[in-house]
Amino acid sequence: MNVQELLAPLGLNFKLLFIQLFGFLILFWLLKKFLFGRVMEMVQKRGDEIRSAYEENERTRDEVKSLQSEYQQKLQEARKEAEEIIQSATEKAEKAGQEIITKTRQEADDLRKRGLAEIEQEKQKVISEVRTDVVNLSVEIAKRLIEKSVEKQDAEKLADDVIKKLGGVTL
Amino acid sequence: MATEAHGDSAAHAAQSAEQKLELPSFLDFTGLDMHHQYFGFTLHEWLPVIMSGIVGLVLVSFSLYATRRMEKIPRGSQAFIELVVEGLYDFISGTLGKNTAKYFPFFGTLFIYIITMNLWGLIPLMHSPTNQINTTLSMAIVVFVLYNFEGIRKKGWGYFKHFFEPLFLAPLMFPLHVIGEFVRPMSLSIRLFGNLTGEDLTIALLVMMTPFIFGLIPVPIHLVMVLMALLFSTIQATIFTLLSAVYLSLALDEDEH
Repeated sequence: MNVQELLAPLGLNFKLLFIQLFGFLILFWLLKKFLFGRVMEMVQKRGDEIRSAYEENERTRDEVKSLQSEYQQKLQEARKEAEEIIQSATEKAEKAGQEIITKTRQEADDLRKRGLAEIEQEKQKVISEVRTDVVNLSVEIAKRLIEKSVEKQDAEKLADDVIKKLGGVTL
Repeated sequence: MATEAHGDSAAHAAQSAEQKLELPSFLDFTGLDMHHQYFGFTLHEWLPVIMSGIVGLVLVSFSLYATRRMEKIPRGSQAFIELVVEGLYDFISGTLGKNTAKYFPFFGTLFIYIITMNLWGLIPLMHSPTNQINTTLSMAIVVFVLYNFEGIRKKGWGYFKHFFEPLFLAPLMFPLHVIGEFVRPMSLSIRLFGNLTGEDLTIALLVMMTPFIFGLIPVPIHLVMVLMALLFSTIQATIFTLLSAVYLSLALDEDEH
């Protein structure tokens, strides 16, 4: 009794079995080509894209971190620089202000001194003029008096005395 | 004389197999004679082949439809088919490990084909091709050839080493191993065929026993068995695929069995 006879009650038939086997192989080929091939390709592609996007994301994040750190550093440097500039400017301004004040004071002082000198000069001038006028006036008076009653020599002596007395006068 | 007796018994067995209890198929309504010979077989014998053909056609058509325009963000049928394929991949990778990618299309086809054929019989006027030994044995033979071929390809003559182990019992173990090797496809095919035949017979029997309320309203008592058949069909497809993957995995394994 061969295998086919043994399994005949189960309905075994080698020809039908071969047809089914051939059909299965054709189906396998078709599904491999049109189902598993395509789906696995898409899954692989998607996986690659996700991986690449993830890597890109990681890279970008690293870059952002690096840039952020760089930015922070630059910001700190800028702040420091700004502070230095402000400090330097303040110092310069203070110095300039001080200089201006000193200069102004100096100028004011000079002006005051010059003014005082001028006043003094004017005063001396006025005194001198007054003195001259007084002398002239005295002389004129003396001349007139002398002309009336006193000798010329007495008149001059008198005039000198008047002048000497006038020398103590202050304005 | 003996040959004639053998021939008679085979013919009788085939006839009794053909006459087993089953529900009608759509071919019974075409008016064609189910016992008429077409290309050497009766239409009834062609039935599982026709059903397998329809299942294959449905699977290929759906695959073509679902993968006609693959998009990065899957939707509808593409999402479904991707879910199935990726689920199957994970399932098979549990057994095949690093070899999964290479053999996945084969085992994926095996599982999808078997489960669809198993469930096909639950559709009215359709039959499960897997309730025929020709269908199940054909797949088991392909599996048998595949894992032996791959084992020999990978290990060369060293593949046959395990037939003689343990060495001191080689004369005793060799025939046992050879028998064990050939029993594998038999057990694979007969398990699936037997289960599906049992399911279909039970459903057919329950359908025939359907009671009618007032002789008009049928009570579908076979529905419970249909629900169970959904579970059994899935389990049988899983077992067939998983055992096939295990056989291949053992054949490819670096360590001896």
